Amino acid sequence: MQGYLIIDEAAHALAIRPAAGGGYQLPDGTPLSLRESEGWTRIQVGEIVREVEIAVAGETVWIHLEGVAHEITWRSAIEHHARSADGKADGAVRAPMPGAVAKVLAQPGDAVRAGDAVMVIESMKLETTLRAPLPGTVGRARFAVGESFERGAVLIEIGEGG
Amino acid sequence: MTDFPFANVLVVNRGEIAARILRTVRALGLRGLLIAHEIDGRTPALDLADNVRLVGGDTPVAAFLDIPQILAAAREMGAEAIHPGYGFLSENAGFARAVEDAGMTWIGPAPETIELMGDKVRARAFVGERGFPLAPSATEDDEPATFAQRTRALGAPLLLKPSAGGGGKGMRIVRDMTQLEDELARARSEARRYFGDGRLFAERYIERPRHIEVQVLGDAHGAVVHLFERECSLQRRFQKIIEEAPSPALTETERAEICASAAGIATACRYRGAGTVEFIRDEGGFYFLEMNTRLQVEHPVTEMITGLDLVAEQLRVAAGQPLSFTQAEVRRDGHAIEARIYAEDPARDFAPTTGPVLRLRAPSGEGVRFDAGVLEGGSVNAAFDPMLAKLIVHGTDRAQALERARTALGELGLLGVATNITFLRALLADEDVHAGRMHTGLIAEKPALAAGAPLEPETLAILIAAAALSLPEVRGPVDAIPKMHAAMGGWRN
Repeated sequence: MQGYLIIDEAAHALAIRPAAGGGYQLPDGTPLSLRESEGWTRIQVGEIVREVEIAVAGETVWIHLEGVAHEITWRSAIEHHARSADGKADGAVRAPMPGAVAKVLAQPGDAVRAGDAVMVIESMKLETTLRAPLPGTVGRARFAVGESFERGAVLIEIGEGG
Repeated sequence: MTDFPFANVLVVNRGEIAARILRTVRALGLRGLLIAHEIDGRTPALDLADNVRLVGGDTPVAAFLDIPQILAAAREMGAEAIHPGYGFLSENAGFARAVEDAGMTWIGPAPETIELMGDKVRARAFVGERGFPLAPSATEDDEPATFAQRTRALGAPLLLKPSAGGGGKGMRIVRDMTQLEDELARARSEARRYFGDGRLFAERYIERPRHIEVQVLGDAHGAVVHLFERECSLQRRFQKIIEEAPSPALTETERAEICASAAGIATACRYRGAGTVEFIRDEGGFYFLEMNTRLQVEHPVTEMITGLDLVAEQLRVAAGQPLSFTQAEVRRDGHAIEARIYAEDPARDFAPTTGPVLRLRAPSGEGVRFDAGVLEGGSVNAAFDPMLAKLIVHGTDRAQALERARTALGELGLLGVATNITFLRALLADEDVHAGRMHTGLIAEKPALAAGAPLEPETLAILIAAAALSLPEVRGPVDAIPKMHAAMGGWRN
């Protein structure tokens, strides 16, 4: 197995190999093919054939299929297992969307309970309150008021104890 | 030689509206000037401008609000008229005055009109005094000490709004009156942040209302016409995402009544240029909401059913020309629908998204218009409003317009940044939307629309194959496997 394709947050294990007569196949022997012409791509999986539009950026593939754009991200087996290992609740308060810091409500060293408000962020037209994911001691805010960040950025961390 | 006293028109805006205005400016034989921020990179508007000056500031948005810097750029480029578009400085009376004081033509209503309608409290009083309908409300300014008490007396549900606001920013619904104090504090904080003014205004929140607005146009000589209504009831977080004309909710009698009210309000304030009078409507009737003293995002819907170019009309009015048609000459034909394409993730509560525009294929076909603010090869950043483009379709009737909108949204290929396109298609296919049973809370009441449908097995198979065979990380190592191993079969790692 080579790794995983992440589609709509679900991980799909992927294993393809060369087919004996050229082209590719799935582990069960289903043949796969991809043919390109004038911006369109024809994909065949066994008997299923579809025309799609594909754009690749790094390890992300965008596919327009039957009127719907899909974002698919590649994750190698090693990376996937590393993520699963630290998938348990950590103290990082991550940005749920890109935005800017509106207010820092908890100071470094403050003891907080799970659910306590620690920061208010502003994204487009809304203020959103971010809360501590677990009880602990507040670390330094990584972004100052007014500073902007992308989605997923760690904004503040809650340490053990407190 | 044109019929205009100005030849150089500066557009103080960005995105799709800057491009849309420049197209008309050029079509009328005028020169189009533009300010731009470098973070936007190459845009459709840049390609249409005859001259461009970059503006900067602490934030990209601040650059588009920096009046001295913008006026300096205008003078350098030889601007004789300024079109503000929507948002940014479009409803800033101080900017309108500064433009006029600098000897340039302001393409918009008189600064006094902007001030009157921009102050929601004064605007309501103005409209109410003239006998137009208003919803029950409380205004902080009337007596600040008793505001909380008067607000409480209105009863739940309530809508809190910044007095200085507009466009849905900083509005909060209060259903649980025990939370009123907290909600007031939050609304005040947002009002200060967005408008630099924490004064509030509360009104009875009308459950499941329709948002119906009327396009008006007035000239500098006192003539006012309405260009019929638009229904904009499909909203998320108080932001319109689908607009249409005519409204499927109105009888011809009601249409005549609401349009006459709008024209009456515009006449009362001696409105000059293009404006919109917004109403909310429930079974009990319609109430004045606010008047927007600018071109609206959704103005193409009106253009599609009337055949008019509203930007051209704005330019003619600003040039002092009288309206070239009377109310009786305004025609209405068929049905138009606009869908706003946003960089956002409906499944994550419509949180904004960012990314490169790897591919952009515009839809085409009969009755299809696509006003885009981005180009293939550009990128979407979090610095500005996340609206990327607008799709507008026209059909002989509502059913055909809905069908054309759905088809065109499916053809619209935008890859590289997550958008609301699939959500818009699902929304247009919703049975209540089809039946015209809409209200401003419809989207919030149907979270399944935003969550998206699970993938069919065949779709998933195609996606996995397409992704696997397109990713160098996957295909490269597979291609490196010697043919012999492949022939042996049963290979696993």
